[in-house]
Amino acid sequence: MNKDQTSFTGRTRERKTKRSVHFFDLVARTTITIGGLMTVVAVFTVCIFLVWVVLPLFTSASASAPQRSAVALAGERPLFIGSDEYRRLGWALYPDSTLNVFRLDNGKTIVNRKLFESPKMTAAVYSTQFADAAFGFEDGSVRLGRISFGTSFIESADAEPGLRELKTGEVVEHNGGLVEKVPSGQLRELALSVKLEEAVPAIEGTPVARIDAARGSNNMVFAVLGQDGQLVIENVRARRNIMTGKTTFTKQTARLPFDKSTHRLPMFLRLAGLGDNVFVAWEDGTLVRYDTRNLAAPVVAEEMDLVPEPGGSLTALEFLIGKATLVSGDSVGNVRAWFRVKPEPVATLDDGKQVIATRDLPASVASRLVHPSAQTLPQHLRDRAKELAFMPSNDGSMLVPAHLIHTGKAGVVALASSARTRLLAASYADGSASLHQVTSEKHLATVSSDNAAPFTSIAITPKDDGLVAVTAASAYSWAVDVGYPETTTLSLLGKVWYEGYEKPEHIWQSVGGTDDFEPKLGLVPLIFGTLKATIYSLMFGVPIALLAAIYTSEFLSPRARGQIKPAIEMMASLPSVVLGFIAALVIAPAVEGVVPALLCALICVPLVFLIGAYVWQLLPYKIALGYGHARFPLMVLAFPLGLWLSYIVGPWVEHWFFAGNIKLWLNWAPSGTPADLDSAYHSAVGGWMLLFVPLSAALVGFAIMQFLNPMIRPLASTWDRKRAALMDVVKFLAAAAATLVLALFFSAALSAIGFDARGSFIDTYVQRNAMVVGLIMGFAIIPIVYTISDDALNSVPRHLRSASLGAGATQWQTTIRIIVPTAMSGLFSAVMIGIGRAVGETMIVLMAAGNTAVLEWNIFSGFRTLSANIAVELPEAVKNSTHFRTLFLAALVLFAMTFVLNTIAEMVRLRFRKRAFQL
Amino acid sequence: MTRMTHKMPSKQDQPPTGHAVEGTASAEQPGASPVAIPEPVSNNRLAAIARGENVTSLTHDALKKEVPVVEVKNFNLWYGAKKALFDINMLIPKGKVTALIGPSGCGKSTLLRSVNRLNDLIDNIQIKGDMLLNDDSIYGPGVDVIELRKRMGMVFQKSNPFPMSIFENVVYSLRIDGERNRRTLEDVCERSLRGAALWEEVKDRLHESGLSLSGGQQQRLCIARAIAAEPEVLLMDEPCSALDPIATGKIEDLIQALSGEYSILIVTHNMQQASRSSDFTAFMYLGRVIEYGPTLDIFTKPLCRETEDYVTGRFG
Repeated sequence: MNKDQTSFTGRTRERKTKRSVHFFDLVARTTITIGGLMTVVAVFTVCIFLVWVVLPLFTSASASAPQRSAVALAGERPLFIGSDEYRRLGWALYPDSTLNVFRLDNGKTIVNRKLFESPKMTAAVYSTQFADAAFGFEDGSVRLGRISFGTSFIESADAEPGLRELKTGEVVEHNGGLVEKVPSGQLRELALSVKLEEAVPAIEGTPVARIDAARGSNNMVFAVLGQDGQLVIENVRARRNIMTGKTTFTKQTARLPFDKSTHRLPMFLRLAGLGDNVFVAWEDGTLVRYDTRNLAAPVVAEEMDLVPEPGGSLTALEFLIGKATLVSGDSVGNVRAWFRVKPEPVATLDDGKQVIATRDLPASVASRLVHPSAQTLPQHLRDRAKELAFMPSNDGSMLVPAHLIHTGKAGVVALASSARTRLLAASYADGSASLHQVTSEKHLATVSSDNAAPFTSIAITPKDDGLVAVTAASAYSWAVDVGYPETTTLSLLGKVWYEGYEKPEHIWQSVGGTDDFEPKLGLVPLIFGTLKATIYSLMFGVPIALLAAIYTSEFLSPRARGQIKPAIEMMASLPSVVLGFIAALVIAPAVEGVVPALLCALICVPLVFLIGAYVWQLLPYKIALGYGHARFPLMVLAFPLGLWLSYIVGPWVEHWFFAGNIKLWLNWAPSGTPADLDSAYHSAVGGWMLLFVPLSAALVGFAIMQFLNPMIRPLASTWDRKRAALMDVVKFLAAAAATLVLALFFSAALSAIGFDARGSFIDTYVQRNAMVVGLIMGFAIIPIVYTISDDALNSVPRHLRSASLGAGATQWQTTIRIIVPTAMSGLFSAVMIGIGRAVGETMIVLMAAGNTAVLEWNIFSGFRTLSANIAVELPEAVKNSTHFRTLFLAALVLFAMTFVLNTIAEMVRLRFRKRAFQL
Repeated sequence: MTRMTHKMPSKQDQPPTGHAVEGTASAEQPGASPVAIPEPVSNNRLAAIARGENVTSLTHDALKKEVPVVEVKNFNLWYGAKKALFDINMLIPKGKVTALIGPSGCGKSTLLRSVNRLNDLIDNIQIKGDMLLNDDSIYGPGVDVIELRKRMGMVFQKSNPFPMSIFENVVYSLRIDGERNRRTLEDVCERSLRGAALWEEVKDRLHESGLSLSGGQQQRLCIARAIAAEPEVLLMDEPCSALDPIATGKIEDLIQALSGEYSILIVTHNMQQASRSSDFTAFMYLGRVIEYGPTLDIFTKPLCRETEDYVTGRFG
């Protein structure tokens, strides 16, 4: 050794860490910390953003302090009042046809004129939705008109000298209107315009007592009640000649059956939006509804009591937007919303009358109650004694009190509906007034007058941003922020009774064709759709993925596994939009033609596999061993063989079990007539077989394992291989036969006692359905579930496998007793991650699920998931509208669902991993 | 069915071409009766092995008197193209403890795992020759591996209780045979645990996880699991290498207690352990058995200098 060398290796190690190393260490640490924090922040930001968008949905409405102005009013109760959209001017029409326009800020009257001098106006009606008015006169004629505020802008330069000096926000009266300088520098002129059409004679020789009008797309319908009791409905249809440009009117008139000798003159006459119903109501609450769909033969459809409370009288009756829902106010302080529903008849009586059943008894239709014990009722209706049977009205529909909007001590004085939404304002005798959303029954605001003087008339401003009301002496106005009145927690997650529906339901239907369409934003159908998609795709994908993972990791040679695993993982790289596209345009139409065969395949493919396995056992031992490597290709071959077999068997199954046509069979529903019982479609056996074949197979398998095998084992141990194998085949075939017989027995039994699977997990077939989605989405989740399960199974320590095999266990015993229990955490999280993927999957369900938001488990029907719904509707939703925010709520729900699932998966995984560490 | 892991017997007749010469050479040796040839102790045995020449193993005459439980006959084994065992001929005597010693990588564990065919699980393995378990072929065509393994017990280098209760661990072999009689199971469990000298320590917590035991207890649990299967031969693959001296001592005592009742084949790195607890010892080197005889002779008066060098710690 050289004495100069101080160290063994010949170099001296520097004991001090270099500055550059420190520097890079710091840089790395900082970068990683920032990166990690950013990830956390990003996730939280997304979550907070969602909450921030959603939160306003749940905030309550607020009303400002009143702007009160003494106004020189006629002292009388006005027929109607209204305001302009900027809440600057108000107007009121009095019974003597005086039109009063006044400033809301100081009450100063700007215009005060009489609309009609002669003939005298005797009736009037005003519709806030279209700003339409109809007037009736003492000579029996009617005039249509329009009362609305017009807005025009004057450039400052063109303005008169007096107006130019206006400051921004300052208001002056000008030419019977108001001029205001708006922040953009322009002058805005606001004036009430009244347009009147020519008078049309409606009834002969008697003054018009009540009038209502409804506007159609090219017609106008009005109902007129004369002082002498004539009730007339007229349909004026305008037809414009394209060539000449001339408009011709055709008029159709019908006289409704109304006998004044038995009734006093009614207080209210109301005409439904399409002119198809006329409502006549009296002070005592009696309402008669005429069905006027056929003007040639109008009929009285039903008669009922709008005020069931004893001693109560009807004080107000107004339509909501769309003129389909009637809101009644009475002297005992109740505000109810009524609309027509058309319930499905449950039976037809001998005399041809139809019977409907309902749990919710509208007290007012009790007269049509059919007593459940009546002998004329079919047995199955009498059995349902708790439900009440009714005769529907003459036109098959009935008016129901769907919403009780307000109850109070003070009687209702006036009602007003919004021109754009289903808001309703009501004023009460104690000087208060309240604002409600009718469908959600949400109370938005309560306001009151200074001296408990009741508001004789009330109106909602055109933009739904305020209320205007008048007492005998003053006019009041309030700015109201209604927020998102349609949504309450209950309306989002509970059943809501929407206009025209038979009963409260979960509905998602966000857009409609008309202006008065009411968005139905129930999240339940979407959450349900998400769960349905998840469950059906898991039913298909998870067993395949788990069994494949067990097979490749435990039974396949490592070399073959090395090839198959990447191939399956490659499936994950298929874009889901491609899968969805294939599902919707290729699979769905193809499946539609071979439904029975496909159902058979669920049984045939496993059957062929098992038969193949048993036949293989029959082979002489040397051949079986010598050609062991041929087993895998043969197994692969079993799949098409099974499909082919089901293709052959399918038509037979359809013939035997589904009356020759599975779609008709699925569609068929019993209507209770004797002819149905003889129908080929009546048998429910086929549907139950779908459920009971797998169940019976499990039952038979369990019975064999538990009882037969222990009996056979001592015998079989003395047999040679061939005999034992033969016995196995016989046992299997017997078990298969037993399964079929057992399933048939259960199905026939259930069918015989009247249970039918149709209507539950199977029902009407739709081309894009849960089965197709299940197949394709199952296919999409297979790779991820497979990969994670395979890794989990492989991470089971080798020495456990060796120990079990060394103890003489077969590979199957080793797998079931040692490998799978040990890898359970991994398998569990694989399934959970598969669920997470299925819950969030968008494109496949969007394209292949039909996107119908229905609430049924039927595997043959479509659904709409949260994710697909967001994808479809968010681009169309108006920013910051209720719809927009509800879609964000849907996103938040989806986020919560996947978050919870993944958290559970992670927690379970960590818990089990602790145990796995000890191995 | 139970034949999942069986290798094709046809492969046995096709050793890799590169080793064909060795294969034919070994056939000249009469396998059933290994004879100790009193050839002069040569210095160049190791060199000869390194050159790839055939080296005969020295088997002491004392073994001729023993009744064999396992007979190894001209056994060759290849991992792919690499030959790991060369013409092994051995008798494992019944009711005795036989130790396999030798430096790392000499093929001790491979030989041991070949006895119950656990090597079958490895891809690319090829075998020539046969073994007999009580005169039944182990590698013959038509042998059911599962049935074969039921006749042997195995204890591994690292204790490997299953992630289940102590009770279920012990009766595992009965469970897989479908035994359900609670009495029988409890009986066997107690006997086996007593046999493995673990009963007193665990009798009050039979239903706790097997993983809750200490390392030495876990290894004894594995021995209990192995003897619960009533094995004809107990294979132990360095059962003490992961244990501390106290636990090792307990296992060694146990091995001695079990000898006579069970035939034990044990692989060990630890020569003191071999000398303390075995009746016979085979010294292996580079896939060959160099010398095989009574433990006392191997450690005190070996015939081979290589053996002497190894047991005295001069190499290895």
